[in-house]
Amino acid sequence: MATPLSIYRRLPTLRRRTRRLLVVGAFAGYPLLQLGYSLLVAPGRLPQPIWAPIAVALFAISLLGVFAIYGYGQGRIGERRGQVLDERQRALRDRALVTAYGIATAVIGLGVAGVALLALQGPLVLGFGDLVPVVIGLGLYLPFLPFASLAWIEPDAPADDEA
Amino acid sequence: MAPTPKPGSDRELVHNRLPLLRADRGMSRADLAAALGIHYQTVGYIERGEYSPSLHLALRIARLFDLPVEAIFALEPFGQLRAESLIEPSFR
Repeated sequence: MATPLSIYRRLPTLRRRTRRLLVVGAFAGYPLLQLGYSLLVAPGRLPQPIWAPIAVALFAISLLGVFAIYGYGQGRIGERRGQVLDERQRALRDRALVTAYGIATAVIGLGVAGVALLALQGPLVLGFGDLVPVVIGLGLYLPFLPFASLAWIEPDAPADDEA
Repeated sequence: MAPTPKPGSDRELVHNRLPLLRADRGMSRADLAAALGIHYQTVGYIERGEYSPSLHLALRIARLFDLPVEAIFALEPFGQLRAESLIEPSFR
């Protein structure tokens, strides 16, 4: 019987197609939750009782994706005690880190540029409530980016690759 | 001067005889990986030409099989293997 522990142990063998779906889910769920709330619920276009299950589902998709990809990357990004990455794994990890921090730099740069542009058009007041989703998003996705990047780029080990 | 191959392109492909040598010595991928201190999947990636080993790893593989590195790795596909080709004096 599949237990949470046995499922977690199987995560490092996820196929690339599944990994990519999980990465998309992880990155789509939470931003869609915020967008949906801002565009539909806050202006009163969608009643809260209808939105609530959708919000829970979107957040669950993000959490599921993040959890599964962290599980996939266990022992692949950082070296665990008694386990050393070989040269192929280190090369892949380095590629993942370079990609991840390139994306992070671009996203943060675009965000700052966007805020600067808005500020040029008039006074911009950002309250604590406006920043909370951004802080949660950064906290959720910044440490996750290298894992997501690795899960996206690592090719599948072919079926005949039995030890 | 020859143009530098684009990373990841077919022109970077390194052909190898690892599966043959491994089978000849009755070694599994896990055995070879353990002897080299690498992950067994890395052996698979090298065998399929999806990962080109560093010079250091290639030399360690050659030392393990007691063969010159060019008897195991080549830029061109290997021709039909002749048993004597692995023990020709020129390779020793």
